[in-house]
Amino acid sequence: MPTATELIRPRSLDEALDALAHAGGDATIMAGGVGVMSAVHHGAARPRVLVYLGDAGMAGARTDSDGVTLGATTSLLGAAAACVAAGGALATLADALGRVGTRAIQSQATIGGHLFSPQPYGDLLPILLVLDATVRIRSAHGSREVGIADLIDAGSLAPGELVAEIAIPAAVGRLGVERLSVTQGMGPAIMTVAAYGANGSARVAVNGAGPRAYRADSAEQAVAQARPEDDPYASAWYRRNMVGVLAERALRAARGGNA
Amino acid sequence: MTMAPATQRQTELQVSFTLNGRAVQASAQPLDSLVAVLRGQLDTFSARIGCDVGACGVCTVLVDGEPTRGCLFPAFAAEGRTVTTVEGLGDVNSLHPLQQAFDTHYASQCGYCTPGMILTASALLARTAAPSRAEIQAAIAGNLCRCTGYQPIIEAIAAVAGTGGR
Repeated sequence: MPTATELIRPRSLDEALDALAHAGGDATIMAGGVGVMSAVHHGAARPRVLVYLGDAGMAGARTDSDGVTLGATTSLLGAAAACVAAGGALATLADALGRVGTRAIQSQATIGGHLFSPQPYGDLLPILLVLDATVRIRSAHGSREVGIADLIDAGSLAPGELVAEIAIPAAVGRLGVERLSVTQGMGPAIMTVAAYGANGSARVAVNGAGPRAYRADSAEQAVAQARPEDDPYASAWYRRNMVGVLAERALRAARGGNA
Repeated sequence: MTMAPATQRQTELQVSFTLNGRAVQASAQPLDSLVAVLRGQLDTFSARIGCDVGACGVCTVLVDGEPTRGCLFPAFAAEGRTVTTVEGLGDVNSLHPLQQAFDTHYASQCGYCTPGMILTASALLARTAAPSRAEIQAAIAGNLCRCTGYQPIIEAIAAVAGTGGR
């Protein structure tokens, strides 16, 4: 008999930080529940202490001249609404938010949880990478801000920490997003490539061609950095070949040409 | 610095919510899914358990009007919310227009996906009165049907929307 899972339902961010500080390494953070519940049903996880953030008052969006700041438990639907309102390249991000799963997933999944989506999920990570999003990490002992690339490379947080907010800077340039999938509207993407162009320069980022999403300065570099593996969705060979194709297309869109 | 966490640890919870217009209560462990509680304790069997990992859509229920994966939604999180299953839309004596249209258009064969399809369609029509065929297709993309090939389902929803699938 496995040990019963214990649930803690903090009613504020401070309570959540307190709960995480006490639970230490035993804690699993749940917000919308999509990631935790599917991992449990896959048999891949059996949390001992579940800290549920859905009642902690952390959802919500702030838009100002600096960009959009999303509380970590904002649903993908809520995030999309805020990005539509911000306009410009962030409206393209809103389109991408509308293609993560279907509406049933978008209403439940949170933007903070998305940052920890295992492969092959995590469609939005390349977009957040090219837009230079930053993440506010809190614990009972303090607060730090890290770039999204550093969080992705680290892969996880220290015990006691949580992502409180995601800040997406106002984007004056153009965003190009190429999502490669064999199904319409459901199932994970095989690969997502984003490119952002502003002031004559462009950058590109890739999810689905290696163990984690990564950023590059050109299509050639994106191919060189690819470390694809075979999985049930696509072979490593196919992924390696598609990185360059999708990066070229995304970069063309970001530079204003026809994709 | 406060010492005592205001947060107790629970392994068994009581959850109260509105199910198809009626106040209900159930007990749940932290990892119990909403669909498991609906079927196991509340005699609500229209929401099915299929893949149990959010891929197939047969567990779809409406939570506060939004289509939701019943298999991925923790039952305890339904506290205070309004949950609708297809039993709440209509019954054999008084079919909901979508139920009637699914019958008229042969949109249901084995029936396993049908409640989820109808709930997803009802949420679509609630937010978009006259959806295009493309919008209908996008809305039901997360609900798998292995019988009909989808065309009769799209026709049924289009008929209720009054768009004729344009």
